[in-house]
Amino acid sequence: MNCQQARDSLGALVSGDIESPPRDDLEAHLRSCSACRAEFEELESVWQELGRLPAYRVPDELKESLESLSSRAGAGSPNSFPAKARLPRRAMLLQAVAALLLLASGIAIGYRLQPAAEAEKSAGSAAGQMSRYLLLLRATETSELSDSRQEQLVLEYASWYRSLVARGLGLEGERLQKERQLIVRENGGVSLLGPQAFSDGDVAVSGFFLVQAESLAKALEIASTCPHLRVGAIEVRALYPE
Amino acid sequence: MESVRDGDLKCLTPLCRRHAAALYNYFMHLTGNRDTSQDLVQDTLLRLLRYRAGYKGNGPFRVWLFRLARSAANTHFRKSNRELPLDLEELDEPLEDPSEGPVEALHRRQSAGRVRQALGSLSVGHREVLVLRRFQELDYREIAQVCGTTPAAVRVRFHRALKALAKAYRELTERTVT
Repeated sequence: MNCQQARDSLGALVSGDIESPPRDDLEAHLRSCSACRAEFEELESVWQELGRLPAYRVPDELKESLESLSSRAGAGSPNSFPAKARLPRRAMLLQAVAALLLLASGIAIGYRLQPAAEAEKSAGSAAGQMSRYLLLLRATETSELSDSRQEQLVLEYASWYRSLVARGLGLEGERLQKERQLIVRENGGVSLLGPQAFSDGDVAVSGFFLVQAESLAKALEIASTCPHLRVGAIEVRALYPE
Repeated sequence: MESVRDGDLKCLTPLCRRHAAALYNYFMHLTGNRDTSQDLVQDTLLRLLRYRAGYKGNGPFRVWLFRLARSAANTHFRKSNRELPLDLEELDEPLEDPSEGPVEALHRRQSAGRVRQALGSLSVGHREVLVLRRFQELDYREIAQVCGTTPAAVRVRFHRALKALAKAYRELTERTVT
């Protein structure tokens, strides 16, 4: 493999989209050619930097608009288009009205053609596909980690969470502050949760992720890939359906 | 999605919940603008409703969805006559580390800012191929289906896009240092 051929394949090597035989040749070339290796390292570095960008959080306003739009579309009323929906342009408004009119006719036709029991079954199968699960990150060793290791972990959490978001599975993720971990009990007692509590079962929660998955098994599968497992345990809890 | 296509619109809510974040992130990386991205997510949803009969169910739904999203983005860029938006708003950082020192935090923010600025300086074609591969984790074949081209063309475009990103990032870093 010459330098030109090698350089044309560097992008595919960086993104992992190269088959095994050419990859072996390319890697052999990179070991022997410092100029191509330097170019590869620069591309690899910026690719990693790009991957470290945090995911954007969906604004509540958009969530509300989508919930409203989809629930009203589900009800099939063309007059119930959400007033708060962000549709600033006249063209978009016209599109929305047209789409809802189409929807209304689609529902009518759909229900006429589909037996009720079958309609219910298909609704159940798709609507029930996703449930929400809370992943509680139980810290057991975090206090002993160095600052740089913690920083590295946070980057890994961010990358892991972003991949969940990209797959449509990640809903929320937050880290909790270490200080002022208080427990309130029924008798009015308030206790400070510190490292000494780890031995008596009150393990501190250092953060959480809210994810959606088709089943508890899938949620466990998601949790099993979380970088937190290297420093603690994860409690997986199913939420009641909305 | 099959249920929505067949007229069962109750399934639209879980469908929206599942894909809203992916769509919003896609548009934010393309436009850098929060309001535009929200509009485009809704536009994509309306396209999904309008063209749902065209979903054959024989390929990944995400590919079909991102074809609609790309079409919505293209319409936006054509109408606004703005191919290179650099409307870089404040990042939401859901996993900000409270124990992070001010120097580290500044360094990380500067680095992230440069990457976003470098990404924003690319053409839309270059930006979209990087975003679809990096953040949506579509492979070359799937990106080709989204963009209506061949995997070989995506491979070339991706390589050029990554080189352009590295060059822009290097220049921004050098400018910061000097």
